[in-house]
Amino acid sequence: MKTITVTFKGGNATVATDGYRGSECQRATEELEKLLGAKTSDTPTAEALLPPVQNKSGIKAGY
Amino acid sequence: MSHVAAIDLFVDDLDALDRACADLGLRLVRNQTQFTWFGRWMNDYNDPERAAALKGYDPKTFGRCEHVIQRADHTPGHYEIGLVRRPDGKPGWSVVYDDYSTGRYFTTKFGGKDLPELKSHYGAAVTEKHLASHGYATRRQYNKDGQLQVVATKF
Repeated sequence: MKTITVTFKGGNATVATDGYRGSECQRATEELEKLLGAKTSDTPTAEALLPPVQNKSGIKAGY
Repeated sequence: MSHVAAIDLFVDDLDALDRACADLGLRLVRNQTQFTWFGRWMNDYNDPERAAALKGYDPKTFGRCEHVIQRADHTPGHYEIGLVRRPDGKPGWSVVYDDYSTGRYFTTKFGGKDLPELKSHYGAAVTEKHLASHGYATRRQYNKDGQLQVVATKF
């Protein structure tokens, strides 16, 4: 199962993904990040580089 | 005094804004072309981060808008929030309101002068709409820190 979790705090949004392989997570969230505003940081975890069951990346967006 | 502020929130989805307003006890009134404010520009707001006059909005246009956000218990005379065309020409609307007098209702209730609660709920509504259109099931929750989250899943 693929999961995207968007957390809102103080008018900013942080996007985290789970269950995506490699760069799939970035493709899945790219359009959403544009809707929410410019991406301000991108910190893929080590799992994002593997073909795992779980991947997590945190991307902070401001809008 | 008048403190007409333009906050850092740009709206291009009125349906999402409608949802956010409903969540927060506000009401979006589409196509209302005037919003209530002090009524006279006093040139007394010097906050470069918020003062609309310092951010490219012509004071002669204060009070004019394309849509309005009201408090749900709005009565005549209560200040309102106006959605005005962005001064940079990009599509969508800026959020502008007088944060003095009864405008303080919005700052008190929604986390401060930048209305972060409105921003968060608008963002959540945009997120849900976007991800649902891509086949995700979505739900809302609050995490242990009390922050609003949208969780979207698909197989």
